[in-house]
Amino acid sequence: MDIVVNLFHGLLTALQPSNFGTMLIGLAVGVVAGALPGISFVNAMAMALPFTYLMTPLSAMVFLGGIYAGGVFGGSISSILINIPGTPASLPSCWDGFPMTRRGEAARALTLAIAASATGGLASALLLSFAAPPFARLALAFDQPEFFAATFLGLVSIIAIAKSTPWISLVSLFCGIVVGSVGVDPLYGLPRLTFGIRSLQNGINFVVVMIGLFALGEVLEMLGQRHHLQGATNKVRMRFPSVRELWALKGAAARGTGIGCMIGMIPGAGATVGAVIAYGVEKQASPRGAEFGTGVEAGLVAPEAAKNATTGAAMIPLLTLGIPGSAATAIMLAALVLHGVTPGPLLFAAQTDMLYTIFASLLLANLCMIGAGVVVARGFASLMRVPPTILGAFIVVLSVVGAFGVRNNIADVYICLSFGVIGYLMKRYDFPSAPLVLGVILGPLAERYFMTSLANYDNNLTIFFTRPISATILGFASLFVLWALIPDIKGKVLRLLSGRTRAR
Amino acid sequence: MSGGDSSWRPVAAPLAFLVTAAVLTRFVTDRPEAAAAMARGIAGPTTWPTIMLYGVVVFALAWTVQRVAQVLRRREGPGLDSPATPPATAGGARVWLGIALVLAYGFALPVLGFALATLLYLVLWLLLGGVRSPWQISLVSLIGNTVLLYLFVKLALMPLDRGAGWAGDLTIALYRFLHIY
Repeated sequence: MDIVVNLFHGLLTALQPSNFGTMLIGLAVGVVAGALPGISFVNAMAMALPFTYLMTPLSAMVFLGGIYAGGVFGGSISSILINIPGTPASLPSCWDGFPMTRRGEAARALTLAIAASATGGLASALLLSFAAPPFARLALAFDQPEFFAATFLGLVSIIAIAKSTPWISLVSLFCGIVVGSVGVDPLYGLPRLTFGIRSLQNGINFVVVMIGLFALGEVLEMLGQRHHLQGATNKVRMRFPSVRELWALKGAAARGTGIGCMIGMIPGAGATVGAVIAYGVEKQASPRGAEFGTGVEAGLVAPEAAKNATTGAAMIPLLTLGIPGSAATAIMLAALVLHGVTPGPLLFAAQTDMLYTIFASLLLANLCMIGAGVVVARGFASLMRVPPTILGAFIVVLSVVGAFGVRNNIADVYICLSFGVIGYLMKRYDFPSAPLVLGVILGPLAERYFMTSLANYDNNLTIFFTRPISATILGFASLFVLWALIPDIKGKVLRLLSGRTRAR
Repeated sequence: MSGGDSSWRPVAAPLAFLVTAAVLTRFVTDRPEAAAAMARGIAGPTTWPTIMLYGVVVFALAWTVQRVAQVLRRREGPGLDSPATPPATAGGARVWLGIALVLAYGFALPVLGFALATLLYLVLWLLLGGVRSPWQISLVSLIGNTVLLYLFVKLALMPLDRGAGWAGDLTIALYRFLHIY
């Protein structure tokens, strides 16, 4: 009951014009920054951090919370419209969102993504409000082996995503992990796989690979097809899906939200792991799983809901334990520390009003995201009327600027362009690029957790199986692999048996 | 991935991955002695990439075996397990020209600067894409370039390359003209 009263008071404070306005500005900044490839909402949060000096701690958190909620969704706009994930977590939105755009259903894809993101975000903000302390205790039981197990779960979800070509997908995934390990080793400081090239010592950033493979690969393929010279003549009308249409996707949204909330609470796993696992699980659970990748709505809704469901959940370890689980929550921690606020269990007793106003603002941000998302997406959707030759020309320029902007380094542009050519060849020869990108994103995380686990536990490899939570997550990973592969194996055995029967 | 109909070509790609990864396991670091000295038990700076390269080897081997089995089955009885049709080479020459143009654009950036290189790239790309109207080409490249400069140089304050020598001077003059410097 106390929680409801506190949340109500928090809601009243959050609705005060100054707080509400700050949240709306943050939300708009987040959606736009998330939608621009290479800029990303984390950069926007980092750039906004100095401005929070001038604010109260509450306004600072409301502002950054707005950017966070809006930015996590914003990345999907460019994923859906031009096949460039604005943020790594928006990668799965390309897989079914972009095919919908190609089918002329850009507006529908965008509105479904907005609705799913808002649903996931709202649920996770409610979880944050009502269940933060008990879940924080659970998060406290996580150590490096558990973080590794969670990242491993994200990596094995690729089995479900690309089970029709498992060996090729696994080769692609491992190649991605190898690419992610290029550069100076984070623990020992020794360059690996650099072959004496100095610019490779900084490593290969996943954003650069992602932009190259998806954006440039797509543009080059588009160039080979003459019929793309004319843009869509119809204006993209943003009609919000009806309640009945949304209700039909309730299962996908609920599964995505649940997975996002669970994964979001694990520090270090974050929105990308959540979205990828949600996509993999949905592919298994959906009756249209075999059609995933061709523009299936459930394949877009589940990762969208999961992605935003991680936002509130990620703030649980931040606020209750002072553990930031991602770059975005680390910036929020910095803002709190800058204002002399120490996150932790005592915060709930000492600054209850402020905390519940933050929770209420996050709820409001997810509600207002529907409006902000529609406005920004409508602006971006008008891109669909531009002839693809012209659009492609600017996608290349944006990709180059985006790659350069990651670290203000021209070497990243060369790497991006190289991956653009590789992306085109992968498309042409049907070599799956999604596992490779997933490997580049999650590989360095998995390496860090794996190596620190070994360092912390006397090089004991069994530590991953003897710690209960880690073993449980790895058990889930094994079950997931079996769940994904058993129908295929069963089908092959049945086909083999029926073939032999016919031969007799 | 697809390959030829009855030849061993489909086996080439997985074999290439297998051999490349196997060779790379020997060249993970330029300083193997230092890596060996840093290693404690199984954990060392080269442990992770080496394990992952062995992962590539193992799965590329499985892929190779699968391809070999497919080729053998096809030789035994045509029609069985027929390979995917080779990819269409739609606009092949144009795509390769596009790749060359995109790569040239990237390498021209430090020499000509972002403004000039982007302008030239936009004009050439539009011509390659089949746009022939001089008005359309001029308007798109000039207005587009100006908008990009305002967005990234003026608003986002990105330190985009200005170019070397005369190109650098030209870029600064352009920035002054546009009031973004």
